[in-house]
Amino acid sequence: MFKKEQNLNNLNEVETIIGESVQVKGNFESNGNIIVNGILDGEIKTKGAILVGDKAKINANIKAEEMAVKGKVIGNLKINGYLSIGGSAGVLGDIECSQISIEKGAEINGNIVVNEKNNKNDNKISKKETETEEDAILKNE
Amino acid sequence: MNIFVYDAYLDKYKKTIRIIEESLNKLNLQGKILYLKNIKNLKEAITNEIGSGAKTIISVGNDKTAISIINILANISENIPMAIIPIGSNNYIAESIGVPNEKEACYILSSRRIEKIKLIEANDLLFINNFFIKNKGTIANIDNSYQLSPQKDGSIFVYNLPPKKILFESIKINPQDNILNLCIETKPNSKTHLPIKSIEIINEKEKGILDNFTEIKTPIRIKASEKSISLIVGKERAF
Repeated sequence: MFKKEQNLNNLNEVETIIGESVQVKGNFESNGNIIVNGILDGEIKTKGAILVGDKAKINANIKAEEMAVKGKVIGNLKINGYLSIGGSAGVLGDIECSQISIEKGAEINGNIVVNEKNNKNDNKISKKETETEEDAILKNE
Repeated sequence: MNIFVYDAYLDKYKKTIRIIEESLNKLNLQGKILYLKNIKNLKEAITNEIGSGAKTIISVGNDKTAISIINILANISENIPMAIIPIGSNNYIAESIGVPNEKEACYILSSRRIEKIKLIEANDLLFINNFFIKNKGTIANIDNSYQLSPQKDGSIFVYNLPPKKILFESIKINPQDNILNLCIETKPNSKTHLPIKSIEIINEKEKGILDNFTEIKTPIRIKASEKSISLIVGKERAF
């Protein structure tokens, strides 16, 4: 979990950066990772991760693969994977994700659903890989 | 045959020109010289040379010289490669394509490493490098889906070629990926980067500038053009 959080807070491959002094209005779609430090009103969809900086103000429903929130978000969050909510964050809206961490001091007002469907899939994959290794050993014997 | 187009301001660089010509002779890259100061219609002159078998057009000058040749080559049916020998200042295109100075330019011309670069449309004009406008009062409508407005003074650039100054460590600008790069810098130190396909720029007071030379009034619609140019590039190019 800690490693995931570190990765989210230091996105190496960023496609989009919205700076502090910029306001965006409308439907924002992306295929890569996004860092938001400015103001965004509308809707955000990405196949990558979103990092919301501590000075950001977002008024939007958000769909993403992973997300780290340090600023203010008004809107529903639908995150396929891991969601990290920092101590300075404020979220007003419903949250759906498969893993979550909430730091002391965070303000959340909404329903939180942590759906472990993705985790189960991860388990299935690792079990399958183990079986393959065992098969290989048996074959060698 | 090589056709060298010498800009009119090169009279101030006689010594540099002599050194370049010696290098070109050593590399067996001689050709015909067109002096811009003696030519009334460059398009006609270049088209005639291509008709007579010119294989490469070489811009000897700065960005302004290169842009005038790019606009001609982009609008003819033949695919004739172009090279740049940068002289003096305002040579940002040469820098981006890995041509650092006039001496290296001769070796790069000799190596003949050709890359096709898409040009960008701004209303009915073409540009290759970048578009610039001041932030103040600018509204940008992007990809027909969202609007962006800077809240503080600064500058807006749309890059096709990567600038020498690295804006973001993690972002690579590539003029061959059909993606434009919108970069906004606001004071004191806020930066925005968005990969976009098209943009409409509106500003009632400020004009935009294409490739550091050509002024253009808003509203301006910017998108990748179907037209492209084959450039002879250096190994040290930024893409």
